[in-house]
Amino acid sequence: MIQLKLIILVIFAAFLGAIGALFIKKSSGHITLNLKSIITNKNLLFGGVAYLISVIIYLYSLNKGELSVIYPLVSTTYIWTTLFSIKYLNEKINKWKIMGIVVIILGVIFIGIGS
Amino acid sequence: MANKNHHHNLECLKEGIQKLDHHNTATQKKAIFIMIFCTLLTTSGQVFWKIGLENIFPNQIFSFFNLHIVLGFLAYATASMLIIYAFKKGELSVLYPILATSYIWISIVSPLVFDEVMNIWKWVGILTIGLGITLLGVGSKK
Repeated sequence: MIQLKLIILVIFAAFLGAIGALFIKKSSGHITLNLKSIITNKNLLFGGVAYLISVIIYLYSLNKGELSVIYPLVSTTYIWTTLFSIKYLNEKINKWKIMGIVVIILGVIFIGIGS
Repeated sequence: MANKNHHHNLECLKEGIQKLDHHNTATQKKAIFIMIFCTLLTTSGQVFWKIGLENIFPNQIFSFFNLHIVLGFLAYATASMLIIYAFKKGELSVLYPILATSYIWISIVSPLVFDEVMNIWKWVGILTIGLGITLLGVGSKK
């Protein structure tokens, strides 16, 4: 039961990390080597904070759970990143990506059973 | 005459493409090597973090910045930068599966360092996840 709570927590951390990465990526078009433009960039700030919170949640989970269970669950980031890239960064979806997402979900379920 | 010139141009083009191909396989090899190194780096980073987290005391805020935690962050930061570099040089359909081998290293190391127990479900799980990541890599082929 404690393991299940941690699994959900890590998947949430992976989701937050992907959101962070998306906003950092969005901000990268507007960044110049000007300190003011970096500090006042809202996308970068939001992305950075989301990323930081995701790392803290991950470390909390890693401390409470098993490394061999917690670490593989970080792979769910790939799912969110793929979906976000299609929705917000105009990348194309294809059958390989759909299969990849389904297979990763399957793998996460196996890990869940194994834990 | 024009025909001869044309033929010469074609030969130059062929030679150029061959050189480019050779250059591409060389950078691809370099990217693969960097990626293998990164999987070892992230694996040791995770182990450092897990050890470091055991030495944190809630009443001492600075105990968070212990040697193992800092080493973990250094490994993480270095690997992130190298991975971004490798992604620019190589094909994702090749680099993604290599990156996924880190799950295998973690599964080997965890029982040795933290007396965790691997079972058939966990092994099937990480291999399935590795397959899924490979499929995403194939789907992202440039």
